[in-house]
Order: sequence, then structure tokens, then C-alpha cells
Amino acid sequence: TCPTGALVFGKREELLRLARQRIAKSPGKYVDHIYGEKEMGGTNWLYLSPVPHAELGQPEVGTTSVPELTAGALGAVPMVAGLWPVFLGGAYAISKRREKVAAEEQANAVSDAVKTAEEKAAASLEAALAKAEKEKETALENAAKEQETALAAKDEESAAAIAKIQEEAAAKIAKAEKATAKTKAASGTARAPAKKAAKAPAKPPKVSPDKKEP
Amino acid sequence: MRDALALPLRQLKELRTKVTKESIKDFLLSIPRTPFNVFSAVILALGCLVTLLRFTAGLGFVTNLDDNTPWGVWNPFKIAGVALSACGYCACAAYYIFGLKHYKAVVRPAITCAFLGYLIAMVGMLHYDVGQPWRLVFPIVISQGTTSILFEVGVCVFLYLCVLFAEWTPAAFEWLGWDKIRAFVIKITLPMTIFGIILSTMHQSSLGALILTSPGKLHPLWYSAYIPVFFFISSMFAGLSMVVVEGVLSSRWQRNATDEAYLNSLDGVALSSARGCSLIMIGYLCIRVFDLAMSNSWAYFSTGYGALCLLELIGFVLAPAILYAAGAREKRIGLIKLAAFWTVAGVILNRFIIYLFALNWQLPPDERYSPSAMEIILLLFIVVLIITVYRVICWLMPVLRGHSGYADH
Repeated sequence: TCPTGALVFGKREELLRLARQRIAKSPGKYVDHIYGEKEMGGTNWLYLSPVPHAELGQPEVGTTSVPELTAGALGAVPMVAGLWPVFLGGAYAISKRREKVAAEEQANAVSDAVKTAEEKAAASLEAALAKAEKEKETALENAAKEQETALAAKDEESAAAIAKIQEEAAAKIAKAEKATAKTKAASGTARAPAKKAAKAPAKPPKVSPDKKEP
Repeated sequence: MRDALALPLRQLKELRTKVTKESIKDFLLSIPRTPFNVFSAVILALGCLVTLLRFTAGLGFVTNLDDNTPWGVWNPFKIAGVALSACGYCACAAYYIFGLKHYKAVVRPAITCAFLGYLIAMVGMLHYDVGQPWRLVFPIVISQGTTSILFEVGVCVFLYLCVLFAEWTPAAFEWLGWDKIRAFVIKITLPMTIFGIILSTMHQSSLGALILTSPGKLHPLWYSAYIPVFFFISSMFAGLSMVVVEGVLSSRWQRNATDEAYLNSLDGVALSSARGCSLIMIGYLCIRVFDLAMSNSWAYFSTGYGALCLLELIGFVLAPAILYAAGAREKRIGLIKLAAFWTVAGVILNRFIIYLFALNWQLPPDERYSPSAMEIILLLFIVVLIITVYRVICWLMPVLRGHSGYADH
């Protein structure tokens, strides 16, 4: 049990003055140290001791107050609260923007690809049409040529036929003339009407084949 | 592999229509007695017993805590739980903010996991440590201490839990068919995501800043003015790794709660996470080493703590980072999955070192704390509770699968 007055209550300044007075009044009774005056930045309990404080289980704890130790960490809170929305909002905006750009690029790429494909399709269609046209023309040309050839062949044929007819006619005429001459010779007399008759059939071969054709 | 919980669906439907003693019994008996379900049931029962003891007989009866160690093994567990719950903000940031579209299918499982992590491992478990649950709202409404780092922790947990709950609700609303409120929540997704990332940044780092108050307690190899930064950076690769780990576990054990889109996106997610993690982990290793150089703590490397520090930095940061990089480069998903589990173990180790192993390092060994059996049982209870609730949610609601009635989310 503590003697009366061992525990004193009061204002901190008064208690410190009282403690110093006690140490000064009775030298040797106390260790010259007020435990709690500066420990942990100054505590609300102050101790005087006749033996070193460490022996009483009062450790060396330094003179820095606890709020001082954590002031830096607590001081960072407003900075974090102020800046994090900026950083995070910025990161969000960047990723959103990147997404948007990527989407646009993709859309552009798709529309470009569609456009190229369409152009290609149109070009190949045109080429196909042109080819078909050309083929048609060639076919027509070929047909015309064939017709011409056919016509030409026909012409040749008819010419040949005419020539044959002419030849035949000439041969007939020659035969007739021969026969006439034979008859003349047999009769021995040159008769005017017989000469005329021989001359007349010789005339037609000189005329164009059209007029002569029956 | 089928999820054994998926089987008693019919019985649960009956239970919904008519709750009687019989129907509850039927439902409970219909749950398949697979080894894991039996283990879960045992742990849940033991956990309830420990809970009862904690709130009737008190901390002293249940734990080995003393004046030197007022926070025991539950504390690093909570803080590791929060680090792993970073999967929520990591997946959301990847999908909504940075536009990594293949993360779409893993956003909901990640948010569900983060929500349960915060709700059960952080807020739920806090009650066991501090007691008096009715005073939990005091820092928000009655006695704000704006110069206290614990105030920041409390406010961030409170607000982020609200955000996570709101982000999680679309799955529940789709299950319930509440279209209007679902549409409203979907509409505010982006601002909520940004708010969630801000809160996570501050909350993850403030859990590191908590230890700044104890410069004499934490070993100098880990004590650093930059510890809030270390906590935040390490939460990034913890979260990304958890996304991969969830994918591995869900695709194996909950396959019938998934759909094709989910299963098909897992490899792409693993590759992206591996690229991200390997970069962030190498950066993290650099700043950890720079910090050791600045504080000139090299002399401690000849002690046991130095070996622990080397084990952590080389064995659980550098090694999985290299494994991640190799997996991403060679496109070997198996390596990436291994690295993910390894990284998660490394982050848990880091939190346990800082809040348990390297704390009170100057105390003589006989005054050091070691957890009691009941403390360990309670840890297991919390883990099993989270897994069970997660399984039930995934089985009921469109979390691992899309909902046919809702095309986008």
C-alpha cells in the first residue's frame, strides 16, 4: 500500500514542478529522472523512483509521441483520396478510349474489307460480262465467216455448174456445127439458109450466164 | 469433382417452403458426409464452443495473451485475411478500370471472397479480440480520434465493407430476381469500384502503419517508415494471386457451380496475373532491399531473424516471382498456379512475421507468447466458416456462373 500523498493529481505543469522540487529537496532519495516527462512525447502519468526505472519494468521507449510516428502515414490519406480518383479515372478513360479506337479501327477495317470485296466482285463481274460480250462477238463473227464461206462455196459451185453448162453448150454447138458441115459437104452445095442456121446457135455462149439461164 | 454441398438442393427448397423440425433434420442429414464436410462440421461445432467460452469466461480463459502480448495469433491472421481479400479490389481494378475483359468471370468470385474475408475474418474476428460488440460503431459515431491510425483502420474497414457488400449484391439480387435494385447497383459500379480501390489503398497501408506505433517492439529488419507502402504493394500481388488460387480451387471442387465462360477464362486470367505479379513482386523486393540499405540493418543478418528475413525475401518473394515470370513466358499454367499458392503463403508469412514472430523480439524466450489450442481452433473455425459460407453462396447464386436472365454485369 502506498503512503498518503504518494499519488498526486493535478495539472501536468504543476505536477512536473512538484516532482522537480521533490528531487531537489531530498538528494539521493530519487533518481534524477521524471519517467513520463518526455517518454513517448510526454505521458499523463509521471513517475519518480529511487531505483533506475528499467528495474521497475519501465522500459526505454524513446521520446517520440505515437501520433508523430504515424503522422506521415495519416497525412498521406488526403493525398490518396485526392489523387487516386484522378489516376484511376484517367486509367479508366485511357482503357475506354483504347477500346473505342480499337472498335473504330475494327469497324473501319471491316468496312474497308467489305468495300474491297465489293469492288473486286464488281470488277470480276465486269470482266465476266466483257468476256461474255467478246465471246458473243467472236461467235457472231465466226458465224458470219462461216456464212460467207458457205456463200462463197455456193458461188463457186454455181460458177462451176455454169462453166459445166457452158462447156456442155459449147460442145453441143460444136457438134451441131460439125453436123452442119457434114450435111453441107454431103449436099455439096452451099446454101445460104443453112449457113445462117449454123451461125445462129453459136451466138448464145457469148452472152452472160444469167440471161442464158433458163 | 462435384461440390458435395450441391446435392441437398432439393431438401433446401423444401426447407424454404416449410420449416419444421423434420425438414431441418432432413436437410442436415441430406448433406453428404464427405471427409471435408465432416471436418467442417466438427470444426464449426468446436468453434461455436470456443466462441461461447470467449464471451462468457473471457479472453484469459481462452487465450495465452498477457500484458506483453495483448494481441495474439488472431491479429496477424486478421491482417493476412485482409491482404488476401485484396483479390476484390485487384479483380475490379483489372476488369472495370484497366479494361482487362477476360477478368469478367472472376470478378464476382473475387468480390464474394473479399466480402467474406472482410466480414468474417476482419470484422467478425475483431469481436473476439476486443469484445463488447455493441461498441464497434463508437469510432464512427461517438468518439472519432482523427490523429489515431486505428481510427483510419476502423473507418476504412467500415466503409470498404459497405462498398464490398454493395458490389456483391447483384449476385444476390439476380438470385432473388430483384431487377430494379440490381439495375441501380450495376449503374453505380464504376464510382463504387474507384471508391473501393481508394479505401483498399488506405486500409491495406494503414494496417502496416499500425505497427509504426511500436518502434521498440518490432525487429529493425522489418520496422520501417515505409511499411505502409510495403503492405499496400504486397496486397496487390496477394490479391492477384488469390484470384488464381480461387480459380484453381473453384474449378476443382465447385465445378458444378461454374459455367463454361468461367472455366474458359481461367487460363487467360492466370497468365495476366502472372505477368502483373512477377513485375510487382520484383519491384517490392527492390524497395524492401533499398529500405534495408537505408536503415543499414545488415548486421542483423548474422542472427536468426536475419535468416528469417532472407527466407521471406528470397524464398517467398524472389522465388515465386521468378516462377511467375517463367510461367508467363513459357505459357505454363501449372507453374503459374504453383506460384500463386506460393505467393499467398509468402504474404501470410510476412504478416505473421510482422505481427507475431518478430514482435516483442527483445523479450526473453520464457516471456514470449505462443497461442493456446483454443486460439488455433478459433482460427480454423473462421477459415472453415468462410469456406462454408462461400460454398453455399456459390452454389445458390450466380457467382461462378452467369445468370441466363442477365446478359451483362
